[in-house]
Amino acid sequence: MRFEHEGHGRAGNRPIIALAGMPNVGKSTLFNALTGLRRHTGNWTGKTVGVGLGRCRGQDWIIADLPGTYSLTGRSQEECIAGEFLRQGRAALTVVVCDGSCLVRGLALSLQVMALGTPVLVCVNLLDEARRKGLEIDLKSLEQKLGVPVVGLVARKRGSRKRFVQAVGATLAVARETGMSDGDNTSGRPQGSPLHSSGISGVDEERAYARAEELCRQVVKQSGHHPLWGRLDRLLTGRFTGGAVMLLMLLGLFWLTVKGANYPSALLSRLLFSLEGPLDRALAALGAQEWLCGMLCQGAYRTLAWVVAVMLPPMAIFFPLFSLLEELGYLPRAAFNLDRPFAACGSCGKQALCMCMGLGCNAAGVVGCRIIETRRERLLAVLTNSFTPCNGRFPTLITLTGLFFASGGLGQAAVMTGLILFSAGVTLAATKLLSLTLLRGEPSPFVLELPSWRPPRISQVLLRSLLDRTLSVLGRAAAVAAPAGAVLWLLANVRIGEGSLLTHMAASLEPIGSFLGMDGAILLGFILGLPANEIVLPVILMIYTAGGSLAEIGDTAALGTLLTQNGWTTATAGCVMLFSLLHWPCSTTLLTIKKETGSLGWTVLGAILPTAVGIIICALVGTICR
Amino acid sequence: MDGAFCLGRMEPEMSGRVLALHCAPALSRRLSDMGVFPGTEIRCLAQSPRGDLTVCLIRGAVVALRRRDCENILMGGAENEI
Repeated sequence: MRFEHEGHGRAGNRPIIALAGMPNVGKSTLFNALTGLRRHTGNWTGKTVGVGLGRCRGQDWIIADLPGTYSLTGRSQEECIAGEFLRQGRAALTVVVCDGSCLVRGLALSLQVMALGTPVLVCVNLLDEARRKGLEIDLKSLEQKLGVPVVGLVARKRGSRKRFVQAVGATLAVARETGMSDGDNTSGRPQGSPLHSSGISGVDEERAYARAEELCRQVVKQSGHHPLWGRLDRLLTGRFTGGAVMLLMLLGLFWLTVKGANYPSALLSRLLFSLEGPLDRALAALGAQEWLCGMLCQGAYRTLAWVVAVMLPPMAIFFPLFSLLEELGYLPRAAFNLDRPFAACGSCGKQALCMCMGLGCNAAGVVGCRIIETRRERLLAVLTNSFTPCNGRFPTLITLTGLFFASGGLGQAAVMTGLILFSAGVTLAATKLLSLTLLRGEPSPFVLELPSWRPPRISQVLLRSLLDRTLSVLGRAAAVAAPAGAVLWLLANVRIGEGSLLTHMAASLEPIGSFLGMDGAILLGFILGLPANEIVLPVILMIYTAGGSLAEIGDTAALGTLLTQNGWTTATAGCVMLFSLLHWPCSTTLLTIKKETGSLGWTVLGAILPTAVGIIICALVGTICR
Repeated sequence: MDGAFCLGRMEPEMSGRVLALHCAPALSRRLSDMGVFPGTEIRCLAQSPRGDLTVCLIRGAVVALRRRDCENILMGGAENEI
């Protein structure tokens, strides 16, 4: 973990405030409000998988956001992290965040944490949701009966931060007086201090729950009838409607993405390429040599501009919309619908959640597989995650779809939906194959939480996600695409005999490329795209354009002409799209697989499996179309 | 309805109390984390259309379980609600 070397209860000399709680009670939302940082949040169990640290705004505290845990002895990886953190007494104060609409569980965990002996503050969050369910909680009486301070919150609302900070400050002060937050949790702790008088010794879940239920009976009042599984749930999980809604939603998402991205893409591309001339002249005026100018302008800058113009708009539209669905609580319903097919392939519906994370980034998807409890099923999800097209491949797929398969927005969206279904199908098939061969075993029990719907904070979610996506695309463009562009320019301009180094390499790959229904340049693009899938198309274009640099491609029509001139047919484009879905994961993802599985063997398999599938399918398609 | 029955056989809107948990260790561990012990009340809210999943209300939370996983969770004292 990240700060092993630091003293108990403190990071440096700042007290650590740990946010603990059951999954999906809004710990990360509270963390973000306190620190001003932006951890991803979503309405589903297991969204947060690692410990996040941040400094509380206006206070001298370090806030630690722990992954959700059901108990201190949880089994899944992220729960172990949380349990260990709490048991080691690293925090000066542990805040147990409870879901007000489901108080008994939160209280049961609170009682277990209180038994550890560190100071505890119980924070009853989601009071708005509790009210919607007709629950009225008497916080004053709860505080008296529990014997530790209690604060009620709606973490998503603005005013809540101040109230929370006050409560933490007061609790810390009391803890300091009684000498509990000196960080030494093993000795000198006054027994029966006001901060832990729960009367439960050790971690006994059954007793904790019994006591929690007794407390709830005394402090929670229920009024009215509120259906817990309503019409919307039945519609979204219906035999036919469930699948239909899922398809329509994907179609709608892609349609909005395709329609919305066209204009800003063209605008960005014109803007960025118009800056190249002045940049070139400025470099020349500074006395840069011709090759340096070429490498920086035609290599690094052009690749960067291309990646930003093509990648940014669709991603900045797709992901904000997707995070709306996530905030609303749709994803667990999708996992519910998909459990049956995944169970038939020896896995479980939670794998669908990992795939959703993989849409943003396969590395994130691989880390997200921690929500799956058993090792066998987690490995299945990790190894098949790269079948889900990520951020870096999506725009390439959208562009090629628009050029070769469908012109209208709706047609393009339909093709994209088809591609996602295809990738889901391949994921299922590969999962089945693995569970029949290398990862044999009985499917483990499946427990899926279905949180109540939460109205998303639309503007906030859209804005935050837009900003996040923009920063991540720009960051990757600067960190990977620009240097790669410079190197590629060198490769394209170092001449050996007839052609450049790049064209020689492409020529030597030609036989394999054409066997796969593509050509040598495309295959080289995929190979050189190992550090980032974003640069695959730029590499291909750089090889095609004789000048040894990425052509100025203002609009997609010019791009289409260039590709057709280089012998692309619909079949070629199809093979490229298929291979883009089915090839080795990028280097970041591979490193993440290595880290998560701790084994080189599984990492290698994670690269070989999708590549083998891609080679087989592309060779088949290539042969049939020839 | 009288006598014991298993959680997987519960119909929507039926509720009962857990008599015994004879399920796989991994599941009983997970269930006890969620507060399911002998004596805990569980209400069935719905079943998935194909009947492979059961949606239950456990301690105020909505949870989906596979029916074949909960074949051996014995329930008793059912009351039809609503």
